[in-house]
Amino acid sequence: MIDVSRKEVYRYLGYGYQIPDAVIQKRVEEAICQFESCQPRHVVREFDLKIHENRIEFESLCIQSRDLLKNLKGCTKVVCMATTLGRFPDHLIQRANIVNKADAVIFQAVGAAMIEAYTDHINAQIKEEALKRGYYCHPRYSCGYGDFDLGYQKDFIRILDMPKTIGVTLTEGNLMVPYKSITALIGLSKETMEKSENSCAACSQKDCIYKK
Amino acid sequence: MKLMDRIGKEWIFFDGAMGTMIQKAGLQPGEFPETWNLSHPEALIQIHRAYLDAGCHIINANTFGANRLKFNNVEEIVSSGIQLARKAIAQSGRKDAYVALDIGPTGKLLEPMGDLGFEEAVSIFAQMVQAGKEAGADLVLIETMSDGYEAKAAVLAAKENCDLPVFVTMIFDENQRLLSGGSIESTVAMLEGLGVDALGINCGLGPVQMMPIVKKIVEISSLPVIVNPNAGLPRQEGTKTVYDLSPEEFSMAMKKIAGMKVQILGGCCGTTPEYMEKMIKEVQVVPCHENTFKTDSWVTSYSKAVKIGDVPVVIGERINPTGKKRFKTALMEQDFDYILSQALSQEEAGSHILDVNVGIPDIDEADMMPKTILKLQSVTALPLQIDTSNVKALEKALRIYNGKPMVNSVNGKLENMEQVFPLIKKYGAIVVGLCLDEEGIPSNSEQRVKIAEKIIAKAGEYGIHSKDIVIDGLAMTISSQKEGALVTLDTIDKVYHRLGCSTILGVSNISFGLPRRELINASFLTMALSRHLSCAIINPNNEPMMQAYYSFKALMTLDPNCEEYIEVFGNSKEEAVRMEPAIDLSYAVEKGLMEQAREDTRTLLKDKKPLEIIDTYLIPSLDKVGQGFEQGTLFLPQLLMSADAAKASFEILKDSMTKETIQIKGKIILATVKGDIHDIGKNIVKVMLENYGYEVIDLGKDVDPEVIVKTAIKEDVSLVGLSALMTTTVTNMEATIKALHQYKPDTKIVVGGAVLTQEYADKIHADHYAKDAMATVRYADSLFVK
Repeated sequence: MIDVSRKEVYRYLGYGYQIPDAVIQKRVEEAICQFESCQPRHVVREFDLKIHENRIEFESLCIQSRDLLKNLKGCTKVVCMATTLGRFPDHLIQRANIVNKADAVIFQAVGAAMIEAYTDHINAQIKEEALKRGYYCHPRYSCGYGDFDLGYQKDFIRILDMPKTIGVTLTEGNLMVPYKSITALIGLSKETMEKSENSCAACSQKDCIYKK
Repeated sequence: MKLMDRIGKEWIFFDGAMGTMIQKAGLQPGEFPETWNLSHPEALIQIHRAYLDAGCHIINANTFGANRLKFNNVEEIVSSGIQLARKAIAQSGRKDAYVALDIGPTGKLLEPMGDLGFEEAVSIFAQMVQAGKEAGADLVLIETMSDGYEAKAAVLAAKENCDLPVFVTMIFDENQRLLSGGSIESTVAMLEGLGVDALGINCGLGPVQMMPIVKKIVEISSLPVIVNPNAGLPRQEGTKTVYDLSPEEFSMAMKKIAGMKVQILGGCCGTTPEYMEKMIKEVQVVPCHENTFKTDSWVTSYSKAVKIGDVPVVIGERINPTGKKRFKTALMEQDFDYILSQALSQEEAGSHILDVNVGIPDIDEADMMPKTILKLQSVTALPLQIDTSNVKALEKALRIYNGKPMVNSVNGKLENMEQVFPLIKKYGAIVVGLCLDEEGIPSNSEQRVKIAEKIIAKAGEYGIHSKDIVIDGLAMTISSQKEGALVTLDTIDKVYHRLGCSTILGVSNISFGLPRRELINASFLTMALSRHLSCAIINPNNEPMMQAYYSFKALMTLDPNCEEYIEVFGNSKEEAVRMEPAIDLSYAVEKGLMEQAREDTRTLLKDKKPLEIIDTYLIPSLDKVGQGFEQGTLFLPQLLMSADAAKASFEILKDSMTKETIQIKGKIILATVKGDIHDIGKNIVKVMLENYGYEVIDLGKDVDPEVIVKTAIKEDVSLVGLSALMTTTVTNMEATIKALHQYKPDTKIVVGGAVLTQEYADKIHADHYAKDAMATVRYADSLFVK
């Protein structure tokens, strides 16, 4: 079972650091119960990494992204990961949308918090496993962050064979379906890195309402 | 000898993995295996040869992903793939081997969840089938499918473009589900309905994990069963994937599977010619059997399967415009939210299947029926009954339907049967046969049963088994035909006992013209059920009907330990304490109490006019909540709960208003821009605008700029709201704005969405940036309310 952070759900619902009233809290709890029917899946593959001055190479990929270069500095290996909650949340949100818009946004928020929590969980496993081999994990980095182009989703899909392994596909606009899915790269290096900054601080969008 | 004549009489073996072998031969990362058909033909012939030498009968051409989403030379790649397999067979000297055109999934998700249209998918596969057929394939293997809907598209493509046998294997997980949620029952029933020649399972699991799934497939399917497992479960060793079973372990497990009465065996990822050779040696000593015919009959959706037979099922009748003003309006205005809400409430009330009828004059049923089916299947997993007499609408709906539906109906008229049965045969469905023919509706049961016999016999000529027919005994109104009920009951009884066929009734007809209809209806339902009625078409939201249904099941040992009965009625004491009537509608809306809002509205309507209720209660409370939201004392979920409650109230008010009295402030188009599939924000804005008195033309998500411009011109709309969630789709927003400004310069454009800011909105020349739904309402008011 995935431990969904209530704080995160409330934050996604626009409450900031405030706690919603009892009615909303109850609906959030009910939504979390319903989400227990999700079947989260993940797929992970590791590759040797070559870092050049202006590009990153692994598998058959050659990525040009200054922000990703910064993130992967000092790494010799990279783990590609993808996670998903499957189609269940999409169905749930679609249904709620017909009769109960409040539930639709609550499901949306619970789904977002849950896929993050699940991805954190898989990330922690990767970290632990890497540490056994003497590698340290850099913070995970997704395409769409900074100048790491969303178009690279296509490569994630191919490398991880995502439609088959976890049932995640891409639309023409490079968006993932099912909706509650995450792809990311995690760099592995032999040296510990300096204290990592939180994911929001690394982002260039400064006026985001969800900023931690 | 023909392949199909051998199956079940002797073991037929598929080959093992192609991908594993090509990788061993040196396929580079990022390189499509199918390109080797042109660049490394000799390597492929060698792989095929190795499998043939191991004793495999069917070799899969290297065409798995050779579709136009990946290649622009599909014909060349497919035909070279087939030819290489043919060459390998010729070289081996084998006379008993066959080449399969191998078709894998597209890697895209079909509409409505994804963005690949169903017909586009059919066309992608059709191109492969045509090329494969011309190059001389012996059969079509559709494999590694994890979505039944995509498999359906591929099967239709195969059936429509060649006469070769069509085999289908799907990936089930250890929970016995497809990634799409499909169950073994729903998948097998759909594929059998589509007329495939053999079906089964491949990939995903090793033979050991597959055993319980194989057992169940054999229990349900009447077709030859194929089992092509991986070489065990995969594990990552460095950058390589390895599988945990040795060839010996694999073949021992396959020997066990052979004993489960399957007919065709082979391998998938991780298996090699060595695995196949050892497997074939082990399996050859096990006797081979043909599969047996199964009499169970299923109606399915993408994930649910409902058995039609001894346990009666409820078919919800409310998606039907007959006698319903509000439903007719919803159809005319394509107000799908209303239509879908009818589906959800019937599902909640306990329906097993939903009847879908959208036939009204002035509507293009052939357009509306498939649209409605697609929308319904995006929100409900209940199987559907396509209810139409329009053959064109029927075919379109059968095509797009995800699963094996019910069809309502065919009748005993020759012309009608000749139109309907070919469609049932092609797409697979359970069809309702009405006991009427050229002579009309017989007044006695003997004559009705005769027509039933005629329908079953004619269906048989088309290859449709009687298990796929349910006979409608026709419930006639007792106020006009005094023996109506008796004749109907006798008919279903005789159909059950004499013909061994399932039965169905539109129960509510019986009481037409009488007061307190539910009394007659509920009693008649119980009587019909006790005469073996299999399917009751009723209003499940009508309590006496469901009470009669559940009671019948509890009394007739069809509800073991009365579990279902207790689950449904165990808590009804609490519910019996009714909510206090109408304290105040304003309170209900402000607190977001949907049920209370409905109740209060009904009470208020007794002595107030709808407009007065809107002005004194709804608008002021919506405003109060809206202001709270703007001031940050209330949050989005509360705003929406109150919007939902207000909407529920408006729904009731609308029923008692004529079109003229409904006041509309203005018409607004809403759309999520091209490339974007996130529509929650847009939907929130929609409900807010509607509550504030606007007519919203909702164009949906992923909408082409051209569609938005055309609609704006056609409907002469002066405000368009655009939503985009991703930075990448904001470019499409910009394109849409540009097109609108050019072709409909007097239309204002308001934009919103997670990534948008005032600065961004200015940059793409939007007229206004709305940070949330309330801000959109305020902007609309500033334009429309003088």
